[in-house]
Amino acid sequence: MVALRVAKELKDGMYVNLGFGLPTLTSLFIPEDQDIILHAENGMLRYAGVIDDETQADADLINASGQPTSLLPGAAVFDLNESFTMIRGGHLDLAVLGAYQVSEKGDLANWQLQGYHVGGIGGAIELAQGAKRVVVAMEHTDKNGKPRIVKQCSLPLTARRCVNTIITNLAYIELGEAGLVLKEVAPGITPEEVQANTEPNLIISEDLSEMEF
Amino acid sequence: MNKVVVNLAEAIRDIEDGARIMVGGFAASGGANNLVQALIAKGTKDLTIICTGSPEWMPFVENDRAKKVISGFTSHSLRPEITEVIEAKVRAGKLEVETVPHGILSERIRARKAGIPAFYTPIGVGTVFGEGKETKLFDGDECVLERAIEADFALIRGHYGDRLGNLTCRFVARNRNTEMAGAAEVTIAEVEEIVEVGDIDPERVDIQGIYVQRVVRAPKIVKWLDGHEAV
Repeated sequence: MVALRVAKELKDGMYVNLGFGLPTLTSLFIPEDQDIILHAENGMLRYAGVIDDETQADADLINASGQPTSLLPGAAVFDLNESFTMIRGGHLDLAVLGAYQVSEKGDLANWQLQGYHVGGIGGAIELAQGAKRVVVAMEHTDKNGKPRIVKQCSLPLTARRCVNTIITNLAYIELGEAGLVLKEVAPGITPEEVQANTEPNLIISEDLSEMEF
Repeated sequence: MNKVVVNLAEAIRDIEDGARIMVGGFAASGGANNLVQALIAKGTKDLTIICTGSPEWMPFVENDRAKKVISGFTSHSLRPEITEVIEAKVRAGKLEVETVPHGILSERIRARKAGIPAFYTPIGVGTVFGEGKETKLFDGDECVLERAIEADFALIRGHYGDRLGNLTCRFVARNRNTEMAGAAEVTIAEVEEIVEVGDIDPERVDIQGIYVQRVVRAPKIVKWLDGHEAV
Protein backbone atom coordinates (compact mmCIF):
# COMPACT_ATOMS: atom_id res chain seq x y z
CA MET A 1 0.00 0.00 0.00
CA VAL A 2 2.85 2.37 0.85
CA ALA A 3 4.54 1.40 -2.41
CA LEU A 4 1.33 2.16 -4.32
CA ARG A 5 1.09 5.64 -2.81
CA VAL A 6 4.78 6.28 -3.46
CA ALA A 7 4.24 5.34 -7.13
CA LYS A 8 1.85 8.32 -7.44
CA GLU A 9 4.75 10.66 -6.62
CA LEU A 10 6.60 9.55 -9.74
CA LYS A 11 5.78 11.82 -12.66
CA ASP A 12 6.53 11.78 -16.37
CA GLY A 13 10.06 13.04 -17.07
CA MET A 14 11.49 12.39 -13.61
CA TYR A 15 14.80 10.72 -12.77
CA VAL A 16 14.15 8.66 -9.65
CA ASN A 17 16.19 6.47 -7.32
CA LEU A 18 14.34 3.84 -5.28
CA GLY A 19 16.26 2.79 -2.19
CA PHE A 20 16.73 -0.61 -0.61
CA GLY A 21 13.72 -2.52 0.74
CA LEU A 22 10.20 -1.09 0.73
CA PRO A 23 10.91 1.62 -1.88
CA THR A 24 12.11 -1.00 -4.40
CA LEU A 25 8.60 -2.45 -4.39
CA THR A 26 7.45 0.75 -6.06
CA SER A 27 9.17 -0.34 -9.28
CA LEU A 28 6.25 -2.77 -9.73
CA PHE A 29 3.69 0.05 -9.89
CA ILE A 30 5.22 2.47 -12.35
CA PRO A 31 2.91 3.42 -15.23
CA GLU A 32 4.36 2.05 -18.46
CA ASP A 33 3.11 4.88 -20.67
CA GLN A 34 5.33 7.47 -18.96
CA ASP A 35 9.05 8.20 -19.09
CA ILE A 36 9.87 7.77 -15.43
CA ILE A 37 13.54 6.91 -15.49
CA LEU A 38 14.80 4.78 -12.62
CA HIS A 39 18.38 5.20 -11.48
CA ALA A 40 20.17 2.34 -9.71
CA GLU A 41 23.22 3.38 -7.71
CA ASN A 42 25.19 0.36 -8.91
CA GLY A 43 25.15 1.83 -12.41
CA MET A 44 21.91 1.84 -14.42
CA LEU A 45 19.45 4.35 -15.80
CA ARG A 46 16.08 3.14 -17.08
CA TYR A 47 15.79 -0.36 -15.69
CA ALA A 48 12.67 -2.46 -15.24
CA GLY A 49 11.06 -4.50 -12.45
CA VAL A 50 12.56 -7.51 -10.68
CA ILE A 51 12.97 -10.85 -12.49
CA ASP A 52 11.75 -13.64 -10.19
CA ASP A 53 12.93 -16.61 -12.27
CA GLU A 54 16.63 -17.07 -11.54
CA THR A 55 17.18 -19.09 -14.72
CA GLN A 56 16.32 -15.89 -16.62
CA ALA A 57 18.61 -13.75 -14.46
CA ASP A 58 21.88 -12.14 -15.54
CA ALA A 59 24.11 -11.32 -12.56
CA ASP A 60 25.49 -8.31 -14.46
CA LEU A 61 21.97 -6.84 -14.73
CA ILE A 62 20.97 -6.29 -11.11
CA ASN A 63 19.43 -3.39 -9.22
CA ALA A 64 20.99 -1.77 -6.14
CA SER A 65 19.25 -4.31 -3.90
CA GLY A 66 21.10 -7.06 -5.77
CA GLN A 67 17.97 -8.37 -7.49
CA PRO A 68 18.01 -9.38 -11.17
CA THR A 69 16.32 -6.91 -13.48
CA SER A 70 16.45 -5.90 -17.14
CA LEU A 71 17.15 -2.78 -19.15
CA LEU A 72 14.46 -0.86 -21.04
CA PRO A 73 15.04 0.76 -24.44
CA GLY A 74 17.04 3.94 -23.91
CA ALA A 75 18.88 2.54 -20.89
CA ALA A 76 22.47 3.39 -19.96
CA VAL A 77 25.02 1.53 -17.82
CA PHE A 78 27.98 3.09 -16.03
CA ASP A 79 30.32 2.61 -13.11
CA LEU A 80 29.83 3.53 -9.45
CA ASN A 81 31.84 6.72 -9.71
CA GLU A 82 29.63 8.04 -12.52
CA SER A 83 26.55 6.89 -10.63
CA PHE A 84 27.47 8.92 -7.54
CA THR A 85 28.42 11.86 -9.71
CA MET A 86 24.75 11.81 -10.78
CA ILE A 87 23.57 11.49 -7.17
CA ARG A 88 25.85 13.99 -5.44
CA GLY A 89 25.70 16.45 -8.31
CA GLY A 90 21.99 17.04 -7.77
CA HIS A 91 20.83 15.41 -11.02
CA LEU A 92 18.15 13.19 -9.49
CA ASP A 93 14.64 14.64 -9.14
CA LEU A 94 13.57 12.26 -6.43
CA ALA A 95 14.97 9.66 -4.04
CA VAL A 96 12.69 7.30 -2.15
CA LEU A 97 14.37 5.90 0.94
CA GLY A 98 13.47 3.57 3.77
CA ALA A 99 14.01 4.69 7.36
CA TYR A 100 14.28 3.56 10.96
CA GLN A 101 13.49 7.07 12.23
CA VAL A 102 12.68 10.54 10.87
CA SER A 103 12.76 13.61 13.14
CA GLU A 104 10.36 16.55 12.99
CA LYS A 105 13.17 18.61 11.46
CA GLY A 106 13.64 16.08 8.66
CA ASP A 107 16.72 14.31 10.05
CA LEU A 108 16.97 10.76 8.71
CA ALA A 109 18.29 7.64 10.47
CA ASN A 110 18.34 4.52 8.32
CA TRP A 111 21.73 2.83 8.47
CA GLN A 112 22.65 1.53 11.92
CA LEU A 113 20.81 -0.04 14.85
CA GLN A 114 21.32 1.09 18.45
CA GLY A 115 24.56 -0.11 20.00
CA TYR A 116 26.07 -1.64 16.87
CA HIS A 117 29.54 -1.02 15.43
CA VAL A 118 28.66 -2.37 11.99
CA GLY A 119 26.02 -0.93 9.69
CA GLY A 120 24.91 -0.41 6.11
CA ILE A 121 25.08 3.15 4.88
CA GLY A 122 25.49 2.26 1.20
CA GLY A 123 24.49 5.21 -0.93
CA ALA A 124 21.73 6.44 1.39
CA ILE A 125 23.69 9.44 2.64
CA GLU A 126 24.48 10.70 -0.86
CA LEU A 127 20.88 10.16 -1.99
CA ALA A 128 19.55 11.97 1.10
CA GLN A 129 21.83 14.97 0.57
CA GLY A 130 22.01 14.95 -3.21
CA ALA A 131 18.49 14.37 -4.57
CA LYS A 132 16.28 17.40 -5.23
CA ARG A 133 13.48 15.82 -3.20
CA VAL A 134 13.59 13.03 -0.61
CA VAL A 135 10.55 10.89 0.17
CA VAL A 136 10.74 8.43 3.05
CA ALA A 137 8.60 5.31 2.64
CA MET A 138 8.21 3.24 5.81
CA GLU A 139 5.88 1.61 8.31
CA HIS A 140 4.53 4.28 10.65
CA THR A 141 5.69 2.46 13.79
CA ASP A 142 8.48 -0.03 14.54
CA LYS A 143 7.94 -3.70 15.34
CA ASN A 144 7.31 -2.82 18.99
CA GLY A 145 4.65 -0.29 18.01
CA LYS A 146 6.85 2.73 18.82
CA PRO A 147 6.66 5.83 16.61
CA ARG A 148 9.30 6.11 13.90
CA ILE A 149 8.50 9.81 13.46
CA VAL A 150 10.17 11.35 16.50
CA LYS A 151 11.17 14.71 17.97
CA GLN A 152 14.82 13.77 17.81
CA CYS A 153 16.40 10.65 16.30
CA SER A 154 17.97 8.35 18.90
CA LEU A 155 19.72 6.28 16.19
CA PRO A 156 22.87 7.40 14.33
CA LEU A 157 21.94 9.89 11.61
CA THR A 158 22.23 9.30 7.88
CA ALA A 159 21.78 12.99 7.09
CA ARG A 160 20.39 16.14 8.72
CA ARG A 161 17.29 18.03 7.53
CA CYS A 162 16.93 16.14 4.28
CA VAL A 163 13.44 14.61 4.28
CA ASN A 164 10.67 16.44 2.38
CA THR A 165 7.82 13.92 2.59
CA ILE A 166 6.97 10.86 4.69
CA ILE A 167 4.63 8.18 3.33
CA THR A 168 3.56 5.41 5.71
CA ASN A 169 0.82 2.81 6.05
CA LEU A 170 -1.14 5.43 8.04
CA ALA A 171 -0.40 8.81 6.52
CA TYR A 172 1.13 11.22 4.02
CA ILE A 173 3.08 13.94 5.82
CA GLU A 174 4.87 16.98 4.37
CA LEU A 175 7.79 18.59 6.20
CA GLY A 176 7.88 22.36 5.96
CA GLU A 177 8.99 25.47 7.81
CA ALA A 178 6.01 25.21 10.14
CA GLY A 179 6.62 21.57 10.98
CA LEU A 180 4.96 18.27 10.09
CA VAL A 181 1.79 18.75 8.05
CA LEU A 182 -0.65 15.84 7.85
CA LYS A 183 -1.98 15.94 4.28
CA GLU A 184 -3.56 12.50 3.85
CA VAL A 185 -4.73 9.65 6.03
CA ALA A 186 -4.96 6.02 4.92
CA PRO A 187 -8.50 4.67 4.38
CA GLY A 188 -10.19 3.97 7.73
CA ILE A 189 -7.58 5.90 9.73
CA THR A 190 -8.39 9.08 11.67
CA PRO A 191 -6.01 12.03 12.19
CA GLU A 192 -6.17 11.26 15.93
CA GLU A 193 -4.88 7.73 15.31
CA VAL A 194 -2.01 9.11 13.24
CA GLN A 195 -1.15 11.61 15.99
CA ALA A 196 -1.27 8.89 18.66
CA ASN A 197 1.40 6.98 16.74
CA THR A 198 3.57 10.04 16.06
CA GLU A 199 5.83 11.64 18.68
CA PRO A 200 5.93 15.30 17.54
CA ASN A 201 2.77 17.36 17.07
CA LEU A 202 1.17 17.20 13.63
CA ILE A 203 -0.40 20.18 11.91
CA ILE A 204 -3.63 19.04 10.28
CA SER A 205 -3.77 20.38 6.73
CA GLU A 206 -6.82 22.45 5.77
CA ASP A 207 -7.26 20.24 2.73
CA LEU A 208 -6.73 16.94 4.57
CA SER A 209 -7.94 14.05 2.43
CA GLU A 210 -8.08 10.27 2.31
CA MET A 211 -5.15 8.58 0.61
CA GLU A 212 -5.87 7.49 -2.96
CA PHE A 213 -3.94 4.88 -4.88
CA MET B 1 54.49 -6.71 -23.26
CA ASN B 2 52.56 -9.62 -21.81
CA LYS B 3 50.54 -9.11 -18.63
CA VAL B 4 48.79 -12.46 -18.86
CA VAL B 5 49.79 -14.85 -16.05
CA VAL B 6 49.28 -18.62 -16.22
CA ASN B 7 47.05 -19.14 -13.22
CA LEU B 8 45.41 -17.59 -10.17
CA ALA B 9 48.19 -18.65 -7.76
CA GLU B 10 50.75 -16.89 -9.97
CA ALA B 11 48.53 -13.80 -10.17
CA ILE B 12 48.49 -13.36 -6.37
CA ARG B 13 52.01 -14.73 -5.66
CA ASP B 14 53.33 -11.63 -3.87
CA ILE B 15 50.30 -10.69 -1.76
CA GLU B 16 51.57 -10.99 1.79
CA ASP B 17 50.14 -10.86 5.30
CA GLY B 18 49.02 -7.39 6.30
CA ALA B 19 48.35 -6.20 2.74
CA ARG B 20 45.68 -3.59 1.95
CA ILE B 21 43.46 -4.96 -0.79
CA MET B 22 40.73 -3.37 -2.88
CA VAL B 23 38.20 -5.92 -4.13
CA GLY B 24 35.83 -4.99 -6.98
CA GLY B 25 32.17 -5.99 -7.26
CA PHE B 26 28.68 -4.93 -6.19
CA ALA B 27 26.29 -7.67 -4.99
CA ALA B 28 26.34 -10.51 -7.55
CA SER B 29 28.07 -8.51 -10.27
CA GLY B 30 31.73 -7.99 -11.10
CA GLY B 31 33.34 -9.61 -8.07
CA ALA B 32 36.88 -10.97 -8.41
CA ASN B 33 35.70 -14.18 -6.74
CA ASN B 34 38.38 -16.45 -8.24
CA LEU B 35 41.23 -14.25 -7.06
CA VAL B 36 39.62 -13.99 -3.61
CA GLN B 37 39.28 -17.79 -3.40
CA ALA B 38 42.93 -18.20 -4.41
CA LEU B 39 43.99 -15.73 -1.73
CA ILE B 40 41.96 -17.58 0.90
CA ALA B 41 43.54 -20.88 -0.24
CA LYS B 42 47.00 -19.31 0.06
CA GLY B 43 46.32 -18.49 3.72
CA THR B 44 47.24 -14.80 3.57
CA LYS B 45 46.00 -13.04 6.71
CA ASP B 46 45.74 -9.72 8.62
CA LEU B 47 44.38 -8.11 5.47
CA THR B 48 42.62 -4.80 5.11
CA ILE B 49 39.73 -5.26 2.67
CA ILE B 50 38.31 -2.24 0.85
CA CYS B 51 35.07 -3.06 -0.95
CA THR B 52 31.34 -2.44 -1.55
CA GLY B 53 29.81 -4.95 0.87
CA SER B 54 29.39 -8.45 2.24
CA PRO B 55 29.90 -10.46 -0.99
CA GLU B 56 33.46 -9.15 -1.12
CA TRP B 57 34.45 -9.22 2.58
CA MET B 58 32.58 -12.38 3.62
CA PRO B 59 35.27 -14.91 2.56
CA PHE B 60 37.94 -12.95 4.45
CA VAL B 61 35.84 -12.45 7.59
CA GLU B 62 34.49 -16.02 7.67
CA ASN B 63 38.03 -17.40 7.43
CA ASP B 64 39.54 -14.90 9.90
CA ARG B 65 41.82 -13.41 7.27
CA ALA B 66 40.74 -9.79 7.64
CA LYS B 67 42.15 -7.35 10.18
CA LYS B 68 39.99 -4.51 8.92
CA VAL B 69 37.03 -4.03 6.58
CA ILE B 70 36.40 -0.67 4.90
CA SER B 71 33.03 -0.87 3.18
CA GLY B 72 29.65 0.75 2.50
CA PHE B 73 27.97 -2.22 4.19
CA THR B 74 29.85 -3.61 7.19
CA SER B 75 26.59 -5.33 8.16
CA HIS B 76 24.85 -7.88 5.92
CA SER B 77 21.89 -6.32 4.13
CA LEU B 78 19.79 -9.52 3.99
CA ARG B 79 21.08 -11.87 6.70
CA PRO B 80 20.96 -10.53 10.30
CA GLU B 81 22.75 -13.65 11.60
CA ILE B 82 25.85 -12.71 9.59
CA THR B 83 25.62 -9.14 10.88
CA GLU B 84 25.69 -10.62 14.41
CA VAL B 85 28.81 -12.66 13.59
CA ILE B 86 30.77 -9.67 12.29
CA GLU B 87 29.50 -7.45 15.15
CA ALA B 88 30.72 -10.07 17.66
CA LYS B 89 34.18 -10.11 16.03
CA VAL B 90 34.35 -6.32 16.31
CA ARG B 91 33.32 -6.39 19.98
CA ALA B 92 35.92 -9.09 20.70
CA GLY B 93 38.62 -6.89 19.16
CA LYS B 94 39.31 -9.39 16.37
CA LEU B 95 38.18 -7.11 13.57
CA GLU B 96 38.07 -3.42 12.85
CA VAL B 97 35.35 -1.95 10.63
CA GLU B 98 35.03 1.42 8.92
CA THR B 99 31.67 2.09 7.29
CA VAL B 100 32.12 4.52 4.40
CA PRO B 101 29.30 5.81 2.18
CA HIS B 102 29.44 4.12 -1.25
CA GLY B 103 30.00 7.33 -3.18
CA ILE B 104 32.60 8.73 -0.79
CA LEU B 105 34.51 5.44 -0.94
CA SER B 106 34.28 5.59 -4.73
CA GLU B 107 35.65 9.14 -4.85
CA ARG B 108 38.41 8.34 -2.33
CA ILE B 109 39.50 5.44 -4.53
CA ARG B 110 39.26 7.52 -7.72
CA ALA B 111 41.21 10.34 -6.04
CA ARG B 112 44.07 7.96 -5.33
CA LYS B 113 43.99 6.74 -8.92
CA ALA B 114 44.02 10.36 -10.15
CA GLY B 115 46.79 11.56 -7.83
CA ILE B 116 44.51 13.78 -5.75
CA PRO B 117 45.43 13.47 -2.04
CA ALA B 118 42.15 14.79 -0.62
CA PHE B 119 38.92 16.58 -1.51
CA TYR B 120 36.10 18.50 0.18
CA THR B 121 32.48 17.33 0.13
CA PRO B 122 29.27 18.29 1.95
CA ILE B 123 28.41 14.57 2.31
CA GLY B 124 28.59 13.50 5.94
CA VAL B 125 28.33 16.89 7.64
CA GLY B 126 26.52 16.61 10.97
CA THR B 127 26.78 12.83 11.13
CA VAL B 128 29.29 10.28 12.36
CA PHE B 129 30.68 10.18 8.81
CA GLY B 130 31.96 13.73 9.14
CA GLU B 131 33.16 13.45 12.72
CA GLY B 132 36.79 14.28 13.44
CA LYS B 133 37.43 15.52 9.91
CA GLU B 134 38.69 18.96 8.92
CA THR B 135 35.89 21.23 7.74
CA LYS B 136 35.73 24.32 5.57
CA LEU B 137 32.96 26.60 4.32
CA PHE B 138 32.39 26.83 0.55
CA ASP B 139 29.76 29.40 -0.49
CA GLY B 140 28.36 29.14 3.02
CA ASP B 141 28.07 25.35 3.00
CA GLU B 142 30.08 23.32 5.46
CA CYS B 143 32.21 20.61 3.83
CA VAL B 144 34.45 17.90 5.24
CA LEU B 145 37.89 16.91 3.98
CA GLU B 146 38.08 13.32 2.70
CA ARG B 147 41.43 11.64 2.06
CA ALA B 148 42.35 9.45 -0.89
CA ILE B 149 42.57 5.79 0.07
CA GLU B 150 45.68 3.71 -0.62
CA ALA B 151 46.05 0.00 -1.25
CA ASP B 152 48.76 -2.48 -2.17
CA PHE B 153 46.64 -4.56 -4.53
CA ALA B 154 43.37 -4.22 -6.42
CA LEU B 155 41.56 -7.44 -7.38
CA ILE B 156 39.13 -6.74 -10.18
CA ARG B 157 36.93 -8.56 -12.70
CA GLY B 158 36.63 -7.91 -16.43
CA HIS B 159 34.85 -9.71 -19.25
CA TYR B 160 37.39 -9.70 -22.07
CA GLY B 161 41.03 -8.87 -21.54
CA ASP B 162 44.14 -8.77 -23.73
CA ARG B 163 47.85 -9.15 -22.99
CA LEU B 164 48.21 -5.35 -22.77
CA GLY B 165 45.73 -5.27 -19.89
CA ASN B 166 42.85 -3.66 -21.77
CA LEU B 167 39.53 -4.86 -20.32
CA THR B 168 35.85 -4.75 -21.11
CA CYS B 169 33.08 -5.06 -18.53
CA ARG B 170 29.53 -6.39 -18.92
CA PHE B 171 26.68 -4.02 -17.93
CA VAL B 172 26.81 -3.10 -14.21
CA ALA B 173 29.94 -5.21 -13.62
CA ARG B 174 31.78 -1.93 -14.18
CA ASN B 175 30.81 -0.91 -10.61
CA ARG B 176 34.01 -0.51 -8.56
CA ASN B 177 36.27 -2.31 -11.03
CA THR B 178 36.86 0.80 -13.14
CA GLU B 179 37.74 3.04 -10.17
CA MET B 180 39.95 0.45 -8.43
CA ALA B 181 42.03 -0.31 -11.55
CA GLY B 182 45.12 1.83 -11.08
CA ALA B 183 44.23 2.95 -7.54
CA ALA B 184 46.46 0.30 -5.93
CA GLU B 185 50.18 -0.34 -6.37
CA VAL B 186 49.36 -3.50 -8.35
CA THR B 187 46.07 -4.17 -10.16
CA ILE B 188 45.24 -7.80 -10.92
CA ALA B 189 42.32 -8.59 -13.22
CA GLU B 190 40.53 -11.89 -13.70
CA VAL B 191 38.63 -12.14 -16.99
CA GLU B 192 36.21 -14.52 -18.68
CA GLU B 193 38.30 -14.69 -21.81
CA ILE B 194 41.72 -13.56 -23.03
CA VAL B 195 41.54 -12.19 -26.55
CA GLU B 196 44.15 -11.17 -29.13
CA VAL B 197 45.50 -7.65 -29.15
CA GLY B 198 43.28 -5.69 -31.52
CA ASP B 199 40.18 -7.80 -30.86
CA ILE B 200 38.78 -5.28 -28.40
CA ASP B 201 37.32 -2.28 -30.20
CA PRO B 202 39.20 0.78 -28.84
CA GLU B 203 35.82 2.45 -28.30
CA ARG B 204 34.77 -0.46 -26.07
CA VAL B 205 37.75 -0.49 -23.70
CA ASP B 206 36.25 0.08 -20.23
CA ILE B 207 39.50 -0.27 -18.29
CA GLN B 208 42.67 0.89 -20.06
CA GLY B 209 45.72 -1.37 -19.94
CA ILE B 210 47.87 1.35 -18.38
CA TYR B 211 46.06 0.71 -15.06
CA VAL B 212 46.42 -3.09 -15.10
CA GLN B 213 49.56 -5.08 -14.24
CA ARG B 214 48.30 -8.69 -14.43
CA VAL B 215 45.53 -10.50 -16.28
CA VAL B 216 44.41 -14.06 -15.57
CA ARG B 217 41.65 -16.13 -17.16
CA ALA B 218 39.04 -17.48 -14.74
CA PRO B 219 35.42 -18.48 -15.37
CA LYS B 220 32.82 -16.28 -13.69
CA ILE B 221 31.60 -17.36 -10.25
CA VAL B 222 28.20 -15.81 -9.49
CA LYS B 223 27.28 -15.39 -5.83
CA TRP B 224 23.88 -13.82 -5.16
CA LEU B 225 23.55 -11.35 -2.31
CA ASP B 226 21.91 -13.89 0.02
CA GLY B 227 25.03 -16.03 -0.35
CA HIS B 228 23.92 -18.82 -2.70
CA GLU B 229 25.96 -19.54 -5.81
CA ALA B 230 24.32 -19.68 -9.21
CA VAL B 231 24.26 -23.04 -10.97
